Amino acid sequence: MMAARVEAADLEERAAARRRTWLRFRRARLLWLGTALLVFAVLAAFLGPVLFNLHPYRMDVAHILQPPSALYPMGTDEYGRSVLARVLFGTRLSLFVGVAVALITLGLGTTLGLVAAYFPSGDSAVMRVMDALMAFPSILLALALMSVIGPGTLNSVVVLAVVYLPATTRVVRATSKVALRLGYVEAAQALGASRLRVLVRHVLPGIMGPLLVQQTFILAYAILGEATLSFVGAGTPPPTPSLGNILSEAKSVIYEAGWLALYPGLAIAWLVLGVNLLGDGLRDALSVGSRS
Amino acid sequence: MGTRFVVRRLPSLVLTWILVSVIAFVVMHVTAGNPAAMMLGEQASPAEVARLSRVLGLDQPLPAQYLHWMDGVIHGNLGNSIYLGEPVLRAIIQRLPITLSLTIVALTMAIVVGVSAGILAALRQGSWVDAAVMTVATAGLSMPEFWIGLMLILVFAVDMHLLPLMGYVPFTANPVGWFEHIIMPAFAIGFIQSAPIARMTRSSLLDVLHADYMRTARAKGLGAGRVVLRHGLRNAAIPVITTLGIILAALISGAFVVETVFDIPGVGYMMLQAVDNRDYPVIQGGIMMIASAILVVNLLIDLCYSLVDPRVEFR
Repeated sequence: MMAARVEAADLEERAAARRRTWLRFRRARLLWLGTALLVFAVLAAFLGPVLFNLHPYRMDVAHILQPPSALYPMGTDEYGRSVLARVLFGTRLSLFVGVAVALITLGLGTTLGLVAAYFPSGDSAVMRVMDALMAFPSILLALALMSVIGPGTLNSVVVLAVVYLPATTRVVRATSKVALRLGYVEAAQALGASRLRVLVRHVLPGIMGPLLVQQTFILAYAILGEATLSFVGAGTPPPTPSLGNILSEAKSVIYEAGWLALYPGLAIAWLVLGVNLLGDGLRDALSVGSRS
Repeated sequence: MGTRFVVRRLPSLVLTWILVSVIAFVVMHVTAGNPAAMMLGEQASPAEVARLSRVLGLDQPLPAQYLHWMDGVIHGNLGNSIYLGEPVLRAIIQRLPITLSLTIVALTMAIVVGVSAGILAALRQGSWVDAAVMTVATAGLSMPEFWIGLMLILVFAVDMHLLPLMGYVPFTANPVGWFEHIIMPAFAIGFIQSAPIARMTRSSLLDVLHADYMRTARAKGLGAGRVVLRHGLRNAAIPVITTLGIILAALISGAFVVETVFDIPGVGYMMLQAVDNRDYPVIQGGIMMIASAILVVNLLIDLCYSLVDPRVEFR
């Protein structure tokens, strides 16, 4: 009877907490602005080419380096290809690379971070390697790794995941160390729950907020990183359109065709701004960092 | 006190440095293919490749090669570039002043713009100034520096013919020419890095603005400017200085990429060509030197805390 009453109070408390969280989500304007920007970008990238019959490789030799017009809203490049079509397909590629890198670092970083937080013997080994990786400027390390495994979209994913792995690992380690000292985790341990159960059922849910926020920023970094690698010729090679390699082509014709340099960059900024706003909004909504 | 701090930090610093060198070495050696074959080109016979491999020590086991390379690194010998035909260290040192001047101008811009914008936003919290600064900062963090570089070229060189399109003039040869060539690339990277500085300055200044000692300072009749600068900013500076280490690394990354946008023959330009040519001694030596420099700078930044805030105990 006593237990039932405690349980009811507990449930009520939890429902109230859920309502408060939902309220914070609804109030987080940045979150919704970021989501709107991203939803628009995803729709444009995946539906746009289908709806408007856009081809990123089709060359129109009669319209080479044409400024924006009704036929080609973002103009054409030096092969007479539609810049709009290439920007939309480049956006797909950016989204793919960004999401893939965010997911890989999420999986690996969570595992490594939990190991570092839970097993003192693993801590210094894992963290020293992460420190060493972080001693390199990110793009420089990415370039060195790309020079070894060669250019390509999938290779960029692997390399960017290695480069941004320390960031996720550090966040997971730091937040789980705090979580491990919380009462309910200690209670679970005292009750004899297995290590795996403690980590997965009790620690992991507690660190989800900061982790989610961190991964949105990695998504943003990865999109910027992919663009940079492709711009310097180490990422996705042409003719496959990537926002970075379109800008690289634009550099050589910047006198004749400024629009070629304008739109791919706007697309990058749009995507990354959307992700950054989403991250800022999530941080506010989940009140990561401050519990006011 | 400072010496003791350095001494105490030394073991973990050295360990990290050694790991950095292992990463730099292993990465380039495990998969880069046989450098001797790359040096000789496609027509070389297997016998020739084998002979050069022996000369370069490439037939030795990897640990032996690593120790040989590290021996060189410690003695200031990073090996010879395959394509440039000169020692890697000399090639880097020759180009260092260019990259360094670009980075310093950019860092100065980032700090001046970022800190002033952050102060303005914090003092006018909730006003349109605050909103504008934060919006520009978020937007700045969302743009790649090489694209900002391209846009600057488009506006100031192509459209307005105000500044030279690309290239570089040494400061010693022509200070005005140097400035004209450095201002756009420096702005491209400095502007972006001013964004995190502005955000950090704003939030840490907001944290201290309502502290008791600020009220005391105002109560004893200090002017608003003095209160903010002497009492507020000094206390708000520590989180900002912490971010400077990260920002410096980002500036170097940015400088490397922007050098290719503006055809500035610095270390970054050389490294990118090395990546193109798979000139592994240059890549390996270059990333090793830069990572070492960043480790040292981070140590110096830690030391700086005590100058700004005497309460910081070196642990």
